[in-house]
Amino acid sequence: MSDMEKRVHDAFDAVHAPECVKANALAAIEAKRAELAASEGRTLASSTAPGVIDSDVAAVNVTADVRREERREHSARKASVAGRERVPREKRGGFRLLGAKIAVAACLVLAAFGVGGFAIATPTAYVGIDVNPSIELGINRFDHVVEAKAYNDDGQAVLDQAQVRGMAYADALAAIESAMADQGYLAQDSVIEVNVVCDDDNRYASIESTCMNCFSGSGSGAHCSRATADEHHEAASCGMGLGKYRAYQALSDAGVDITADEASAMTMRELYDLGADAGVDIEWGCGAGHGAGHGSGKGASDGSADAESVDCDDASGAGAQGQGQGQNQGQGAGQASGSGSGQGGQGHGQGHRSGHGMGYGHE
Amino acid sequence: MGLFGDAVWRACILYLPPTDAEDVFQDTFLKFAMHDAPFRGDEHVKAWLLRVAMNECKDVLKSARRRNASLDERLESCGNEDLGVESGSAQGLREILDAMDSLGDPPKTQLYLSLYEGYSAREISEICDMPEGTVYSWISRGKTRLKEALS
Repeated sequence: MSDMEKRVHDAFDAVHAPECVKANALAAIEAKRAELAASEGRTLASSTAPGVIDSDVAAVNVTADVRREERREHSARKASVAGRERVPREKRGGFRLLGAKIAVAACLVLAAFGVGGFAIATPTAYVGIDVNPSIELGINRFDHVVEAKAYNDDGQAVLDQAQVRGMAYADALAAIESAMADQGYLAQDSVIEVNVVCDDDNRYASIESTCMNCFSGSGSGAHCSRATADEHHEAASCGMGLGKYRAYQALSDAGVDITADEASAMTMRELYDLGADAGVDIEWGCGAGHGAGHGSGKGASDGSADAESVDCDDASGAGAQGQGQGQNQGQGAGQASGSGSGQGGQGHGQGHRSGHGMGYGHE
Repeated sequence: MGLFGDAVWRACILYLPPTDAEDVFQDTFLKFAMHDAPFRGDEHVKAWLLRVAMNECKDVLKSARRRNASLDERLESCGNEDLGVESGSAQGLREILDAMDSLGDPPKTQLYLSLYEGYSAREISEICDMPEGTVYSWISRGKTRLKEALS
């Protein structure tokens, strides 16, 4: 690097956006979001009361004026610190006024036609969480939750407690995890299925990592995967969470006799168990969790002994001579033990968990 | 904003005094929030933000019938805090801004994107909407002139 380049780098490296500038920008974005949300809501109502549009525009104008006034005061404060009188922004050039007019005109068009086109209120990624509660969060470009939808009553109860709208999505996930735990949905063998719909690979990786961090210590661990926009659309049209919908699809494709309503009414654990019983792999993506195994085993060598074990980390079927043992290892951070069955000196086990659900038993 | 706030702010003060830079900074992120099409990744986001911020700065300059606000004005109207520069580095920044102002634009934008942001001529040609060959020659000419201005 030449001396000149080094000087340029040193000079600009020392420049950082002032915190007040960032805070003001965020406040302006939030104000715009609130304006849009309000104008959209009122525009819907205006289908029966057309006069409301005028008050919307007035509200937007008033808000814009308040914002302009606040910013003028802020600038004046800064100028007084610097010891010189500042000319109001409007008097320094007509472009500000023109910009404000254009902004108001844009708001007018939006209010008049009810087009919620601004991405600030539009989700650019969706996170579906299925345990038994089925919840879906719509996340905007700024990683804030702008939509929260429940696909069943349990999900609604969780959302009512968590109140995640407007939260950063990482905080929202933590609030949902906490509400689910409070309401008893995160039992030791619960399966937490997280599905992310997102076009951007980097963003998906970031959301996945946040989800796994949030849920990996709950239930038998989280299982996160990426779903397509088509799957999201189909799941929504079936009134199901993405996780349950994908499990239902996998089961139904494999010939398991199950209806969408039945799948919707089952917990993810029950769907996983059903898949395991039918020999259908309904797991995608990566998993993380800890070792809570689940299954049943039966061992008998000569028919004189029969044992069954359920929900145990390392279950073995006890027979006179036969003994089975299953072990299951998740693809993520967790490890689980299932149970097995042994017969005549040979055992076979099967376990389920949030990672991969196959185990092998041996005598 | 956490990721690219500094980069956008630097691009803004390259052209404008802090009070106007603040407006452009705010408008840029507002446009980002309103932008609906997906981005290909962080680098795409950054290039998009810089392009929008720089174009907006140039629009402000054009509309106000000002040609690059001089460094003197910038220094008179603001302190280091307004510029967001660390106190020990203020003098160095002012010298660089002064020297880059003296070059005119182009090649100021092309030079900044090349020297500081590290973009290739092809990337700069996309950001500035300018043929790649022209970008090359502006960068080359700009480097020579900047060296003279700083000496």
